[in-house]
Amino acid sequence: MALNRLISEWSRYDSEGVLLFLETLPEDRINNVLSLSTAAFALAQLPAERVATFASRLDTAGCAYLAEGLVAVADQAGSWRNTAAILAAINDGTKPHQGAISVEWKLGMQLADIDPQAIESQIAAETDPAKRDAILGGYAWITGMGDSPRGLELDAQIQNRGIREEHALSHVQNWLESDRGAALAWLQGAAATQLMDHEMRAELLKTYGLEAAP
Amino acid sequence: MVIEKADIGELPGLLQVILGSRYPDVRRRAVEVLFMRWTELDRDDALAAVKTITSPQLKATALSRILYEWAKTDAAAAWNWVTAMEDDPVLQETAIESLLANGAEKDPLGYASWAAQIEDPFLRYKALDQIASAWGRADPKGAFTAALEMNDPVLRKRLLVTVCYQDKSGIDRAQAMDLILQMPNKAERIELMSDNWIRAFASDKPDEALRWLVSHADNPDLQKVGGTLGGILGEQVKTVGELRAMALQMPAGPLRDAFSAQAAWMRAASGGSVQEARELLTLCGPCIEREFALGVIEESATKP
Repeated sequence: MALNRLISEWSRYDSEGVLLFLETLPEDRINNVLSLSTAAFALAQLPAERVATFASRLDTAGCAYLAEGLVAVADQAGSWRNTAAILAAINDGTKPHQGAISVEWKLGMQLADIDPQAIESQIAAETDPAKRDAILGGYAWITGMGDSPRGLELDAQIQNRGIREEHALSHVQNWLESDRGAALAWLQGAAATQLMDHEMRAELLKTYGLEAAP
Repeated sequence: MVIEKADIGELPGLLQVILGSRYPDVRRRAVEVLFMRWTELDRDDALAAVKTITSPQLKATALSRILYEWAKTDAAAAWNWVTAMEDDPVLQETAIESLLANGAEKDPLGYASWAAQIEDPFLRYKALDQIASAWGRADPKGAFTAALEMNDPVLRKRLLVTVCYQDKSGIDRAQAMDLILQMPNKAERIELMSDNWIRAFASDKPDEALRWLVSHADNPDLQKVGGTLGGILGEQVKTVGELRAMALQMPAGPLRDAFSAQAAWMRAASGGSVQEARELLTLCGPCIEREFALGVIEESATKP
């Protein structure tokens, strides 16, 4: 944690220093999740080829965590042109890695607020089902946190059942906290029966003394 | 100070000395002063010198200083130079942000219309954010009024968030919140109110914020706003008796439930009495907010 705090503070004013420091780390420390995600703020501001050279020392997990961090700061640091060039150079980072959030998912999250139309077009155009689900997952997650009904509509399009149900539960809970009447009406309707299992709906409705239709 | 009186021939050497300093704050401040001087003596030479700096942060500091001085006399030329930059996208974006931060307030709608055409969504967002920030600081009332009529959702949100935290904006927060409640998009108005406006209002004038909420208790959009205010007051207000009295000013239902549950949650989470938090929670009917608060309170009860 102390290392992470140091890198976080350092990244604000000295990208080169952060990179030089990361380059001195031994192999067993360099792929540290937190350090790489945090350092992305600094690395996003450096020329793509320098970051790519550094990334060539990382394993698949390290690349994935760095890629996740780079997309996470795309609205704050560097430029997307530079970041996209780094991502293209560290190809491994764009491959799914357990534990890291994929570039597609993170992009869906990032663009949900700043350009929903662009991300919807990207979802419509994506032919790889896994990538489509990832972009949609990130987009739906953020959208549903501000706009539960719209989020639930998007959740319904997610192919992965586990993610779809997890999202739907969070979004309906969020809705219950902002517009209880509308959320309860939705929970008792047909859309909810398709999106959530009976037990989950029954538990939520029971909190309000209501019963779920089968 | 030696930099401020240096001749043009001395500046490259001084730059090397500054870049070699071990102290980041010294480097940053000295680079600013150096490039102010350099711009005064020979702007083109200063622009060329920026490219010799390898640190992106110091490069941005140097260029921002040049552009700040340049835009005072010929903003159009400064913009032309920046938009023609091709070899360093990171520096170019910093430069765009810098020009907007120091000039967008002069023609915010013109700059917003230009920014809306930017294809790169991240750069477009950063540009709109800078415009909102410059405009919201320079003319909060005008920015607020314009935001309510604005079609661009990103600029509208950034403006409404920026002005709500301006302490000396001259905006009456209660009146402003009445207007936000009339915005057509329900999700947007709830988010603006609960995440920003009620927070700013409560941190400035908590009693007035509560009065405003109570006077709008029949509005179904305010459930989450009630929760946010409950959380803030749950931590600020001294006695649980006062919090109870506040909650009881609201009719039984979603608003009071949200207020009392969040107040109880924050009371427990901020190290207050678990017994008091439980007592506060008795004002909350069965609902998800109550379940969440109960979880936090019971967890607090197990801590030594």
